[in-house]
Amino acid sequence: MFDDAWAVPLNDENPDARVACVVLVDVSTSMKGAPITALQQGFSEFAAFVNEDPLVRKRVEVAVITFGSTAEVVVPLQEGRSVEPVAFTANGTTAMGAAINMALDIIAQRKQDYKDNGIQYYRPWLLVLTDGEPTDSEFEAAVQRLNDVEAQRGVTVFTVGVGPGANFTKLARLSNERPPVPLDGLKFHELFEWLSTSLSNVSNSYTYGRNDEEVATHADEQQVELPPLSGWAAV
Amino acid sequence: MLRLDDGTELFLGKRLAKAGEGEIYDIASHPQWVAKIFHTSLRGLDAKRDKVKAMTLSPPKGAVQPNGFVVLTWPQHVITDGHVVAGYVMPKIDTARTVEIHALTNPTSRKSPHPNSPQWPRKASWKFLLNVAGNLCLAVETVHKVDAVIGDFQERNILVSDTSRVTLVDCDSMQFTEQSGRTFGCHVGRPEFSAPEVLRGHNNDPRRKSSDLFALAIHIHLLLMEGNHPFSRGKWNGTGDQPSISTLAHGGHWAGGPGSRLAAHPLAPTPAMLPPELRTLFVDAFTRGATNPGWRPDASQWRQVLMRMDAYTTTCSRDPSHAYSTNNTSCPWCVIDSERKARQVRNARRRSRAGGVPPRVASPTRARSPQGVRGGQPARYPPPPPSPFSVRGGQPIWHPPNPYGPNMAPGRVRSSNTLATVTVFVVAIAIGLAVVAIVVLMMTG
Repeated sequence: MFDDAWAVPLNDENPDARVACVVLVDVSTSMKGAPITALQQGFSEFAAFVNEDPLVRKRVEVAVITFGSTAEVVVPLQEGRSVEPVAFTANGTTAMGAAINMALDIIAQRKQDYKDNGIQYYRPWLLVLTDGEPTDSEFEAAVQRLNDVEAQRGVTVFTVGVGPGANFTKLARLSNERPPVPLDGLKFHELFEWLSTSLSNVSNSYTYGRNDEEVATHADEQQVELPPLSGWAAV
Repeated sequence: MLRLDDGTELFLGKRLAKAGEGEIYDIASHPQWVAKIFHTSLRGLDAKRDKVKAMTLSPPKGAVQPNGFVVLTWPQHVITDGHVVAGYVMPKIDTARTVEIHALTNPTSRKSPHPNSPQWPRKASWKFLLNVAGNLCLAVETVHKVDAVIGDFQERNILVSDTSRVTLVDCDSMQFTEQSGRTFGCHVGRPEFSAPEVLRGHNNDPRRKSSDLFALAIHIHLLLMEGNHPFSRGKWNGTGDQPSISTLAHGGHWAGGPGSRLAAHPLAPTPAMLPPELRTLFVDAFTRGATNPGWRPDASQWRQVLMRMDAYTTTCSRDPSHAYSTNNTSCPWCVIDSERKARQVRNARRRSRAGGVPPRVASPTRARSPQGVRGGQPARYPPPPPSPFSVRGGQPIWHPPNPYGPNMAPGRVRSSNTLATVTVFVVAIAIGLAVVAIVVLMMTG
């Protein structure tokens, strides 16, 4: 039920535990110009980092889903060492709900792949970036599904609002654990730097396990230090 | 003004790194050293000062080899600023040709190093890894010559050079007991590299050298078994879900070990492929040594066996990159490759049965089908572009069917698994009978 368009087949030769990180990026029309340029630059630096860091390149798996009028996998889930920069094109409305569903499908399938191959995993990350508000009818159901997975401690959700048009009320519904954070200007560079350091710290820890429950137990026992948000968050 | 403990003035050069406890600098006047200057805000700084001072007074013999190779970045001299210890100097290591050990144990890391990283791991064979294991033992022996315990014996503190030599770094985190008897502890460590007694004890308990020997065996396992951790990847034959690494370690359940309920994973080598002498050492370390630290082989026992193995290693006739021990009747790496290919064929078939290529675009206006967002009309979407990401060293994802069948394994492996299963059954029946006997006794008594 899964294919290379959504995820590169799991590299079963690499026995290390993995942390899947799915980045959901708003590419609606309002992101045109400076925002999308800054986003693209930030992501290309992130791609270079996940290529190079010796632990991240084999333990972190990255996927990118854009949402404009449709949700689209622009980077299929794959090991950090093969992630490449992508060109983002802004166009259309804000199909955030479809993107969330896609991300949850990718994460659920990948967890199954990990289990089938005897590979342990860290709790996957979901990072949502938007400058507007969801326009698709799927949003309500997708949020419910996301909240359920988060409640079962199956995913860590970070939400970031870009610019004055971001609907923080709706964005806040994506996570019951972490409030949305407003991006300071267009500090995508700093945001992706923070994401790099965070994933590097996670992949250098023993907060993994064979299923969501064990991952949660280990995450409770051993806190992973994340860098402060102050480099990119608006106060 | 910074001075060495002999009074000479010291001039720091370029800052090389910023770490949790301090900063590392080049030293202009002494290119063979680097300086670590502690953060003045460091918690427990006074004890740290005393510790490194004590360490400089009793360096283990062989921390730096006569040819200049650095086995341990052991503190050599303290650096004073006025009357206080500001940091210390340690021998400088050539990091241009070294990798952290995990970049060598993991086969994917070996085969595809980053372009800016050393490329030599591509050529590292199983013979080379045997040598690395032997040199790791030498480094542990060196630490254990003095009253020191590595403690935080983990994958990032072990560096390996292109000539298979091993350096242990972060020596100031080790537990060290000075001559007066005062012990400076090591209160950190990664659970997956910790002995069961360390995990079950308190963080501040003093550690013993035998705990290092458990971690040493884990590192040797990772080196010789394609990066597979002994208590992680396998087929769990017990009840319920496979327990955590620490639970398995405490129970002596290592992948494919005797009496272990964790069988070797089909994509990982089995202990049966190891030379018998090495297998015995793993049994002593992980099975007998799980709760009896005295059973664990020390570093010199490991090294003696590892150094003999070169003579018992042969090369595969089909794939010259495969080196393995002569006790195998066929190449164990080919067996794993066959299993991997068979799985890829199975997965490709499953995908084609599932209806070919679904879209990578999900239209939000379409109602979600019960199967997920990808119900609907896949034909309307263009097929995905060929993946630009060469995850398997450029090999195609589909492979021809394995001529030996998906379950082909050397007879040795099977019989060992069968033996393990039989042992488990016998033990289970014995325990069952004992329980019945106790119950009967209690009822009659």
